[in-house]
Amino acid sequence: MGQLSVFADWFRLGWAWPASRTRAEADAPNGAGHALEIRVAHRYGVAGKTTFSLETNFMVQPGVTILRGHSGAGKTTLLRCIAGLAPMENGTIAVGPQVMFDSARGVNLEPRHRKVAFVFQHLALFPHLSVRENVGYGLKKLDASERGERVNAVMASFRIGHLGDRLPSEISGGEQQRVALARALVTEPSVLLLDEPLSSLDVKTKALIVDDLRAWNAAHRIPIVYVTHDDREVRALGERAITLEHGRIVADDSLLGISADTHTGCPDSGNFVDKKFDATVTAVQATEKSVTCRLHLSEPELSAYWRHGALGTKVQIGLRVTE
Amino acid sequence: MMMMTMNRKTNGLVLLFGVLGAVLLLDLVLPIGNLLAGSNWVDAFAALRQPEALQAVKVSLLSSAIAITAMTLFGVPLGYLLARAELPLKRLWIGLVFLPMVVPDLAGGILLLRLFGPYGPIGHPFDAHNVALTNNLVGVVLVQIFVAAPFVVASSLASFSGVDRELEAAAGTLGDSAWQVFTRVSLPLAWPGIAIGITLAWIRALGEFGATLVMAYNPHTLPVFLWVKFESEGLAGALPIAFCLVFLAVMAVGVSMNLNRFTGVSDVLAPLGRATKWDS
Repeated sequence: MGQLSVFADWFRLGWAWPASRTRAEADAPNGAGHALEIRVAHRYGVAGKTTFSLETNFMVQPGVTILRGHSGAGKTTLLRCIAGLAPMENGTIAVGPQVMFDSARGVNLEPRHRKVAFVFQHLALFPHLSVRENVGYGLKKLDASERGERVNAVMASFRIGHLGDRLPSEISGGEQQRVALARALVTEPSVLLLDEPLSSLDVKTKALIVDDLRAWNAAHRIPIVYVTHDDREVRALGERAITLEHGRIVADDSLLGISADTHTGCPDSGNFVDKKFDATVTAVQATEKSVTCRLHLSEPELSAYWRHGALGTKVQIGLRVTE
Repeated sequence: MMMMTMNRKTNGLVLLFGVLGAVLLLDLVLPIGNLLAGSNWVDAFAALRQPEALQAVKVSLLSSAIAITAMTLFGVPLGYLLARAELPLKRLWIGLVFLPMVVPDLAGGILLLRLFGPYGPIGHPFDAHNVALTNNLVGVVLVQIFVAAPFVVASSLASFSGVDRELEAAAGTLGDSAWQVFTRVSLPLAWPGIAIGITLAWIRALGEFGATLVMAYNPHTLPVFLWVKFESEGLAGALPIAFCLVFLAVMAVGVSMNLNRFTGVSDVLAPLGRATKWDS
């Protein structure tokens, strides 16, 4: 039992990611969130001279995708394009069937209609409002009692229930991060964007918040784009890491793979997996898009998010060891 | 040893600045102190019971209240635009807003009279319909807006510029329209600074004399009435009115500072808020 929980805990450190993806798989037909489609082309310039151009093309599946790159690579600009906070010339931003921007069709939704939650680098908590009012800010359309329930629930799950009446300036940095996350997520967005939200925190506080975010993500499964340059965060959170340089994608790594083909392994997960185990799929949970695997030569079973699961499939499981 | 010298230097600096500051402070405070100390309070209140004096208080309070309402209604949006909108020739517009501040008082009155007087380009059409824009409450209010509105616009401009744009963006991603962002985030955060501007504008409007003298000698505002009293009765007759004017202005500051404490705490206000308390 103890061993099992150790393994389970271990496995919580990462999720399975299909070794190969196609557009057909990208659109979740029912239940969990839709994939986010990003095609952005925009030139930024001073006095007619292009100083920086952003040109990226990728899909973000439900789950955490890490966006890495040096400062000035275009990470924040890309996030702002997705949220509608920065201008863009050409491209498409869509979540499943919901198109938020399409230059060809002249669609450009205001940020408020996009259902894209944004956690800013400096959090942008409203300094004149209490923690409770901050968290409930995006729920103005609900009546007071329903809003109160939703706010209480999310504050409890992010462990800030006791801070309701304080101002943001009266709570710690880690607590502020939780408030920012709770405020973004309580609106039940279809996409979550995080712009280096944990960069100012110590490792221990960071790990606790990552745990909470991971738990929330396991329950909701929406596309999450997480900008960071901290490799520990990359390993702790992400299922996939996209590296951006000069506005272009230069690397796209799956961080943890289950591969159905034991002969080919998980070719694109090499960088981020510490150890691989041979395993067999013993159960399939179709609704959760996950499978249960038994590691060969050992008793414990693990569950993993994987859409391709068929009973008896021989797979490899890559595990990352984190602090 | 080193520390000693450092300290002595600092002390010398503090001493010198203290003396300089004290001299200035005397010049600032003595007139008001002398007014309060030298007044015969019974006479002062008796003087204020005269119908003309009461009338002047009424005119001053009413006109400045109207002027302040108008300045806030038109000035705060202008300040917001100048702070946030991408306007062509923005520096020019900002310069124009500040222009009345540098126009000397009496000269301002002449300019206004030329525009709003019965033969002026704006005053004439009104005059044709028997509506006067000078020598009545309208004239008083027009003058007060001209001289005091820049305080409202300037403080709004500065306060809105100080609101973190990221907060406004955050409100947008949380479902707010531009109007909701303004009323729920920008305005509450800028308000303490704007309130200081409104207070200064009110005091400026209340004390306005030179331009009012030219544009609207009647009905007498408190400053004009003070002048009339001084001309006819000298110092003794003018003192109670001066006392009343100072009292109103000090009240305005006091009320505004205390209002601010309840409407929201802000870094802009903090130093001023502290300065009004005696403990610091």
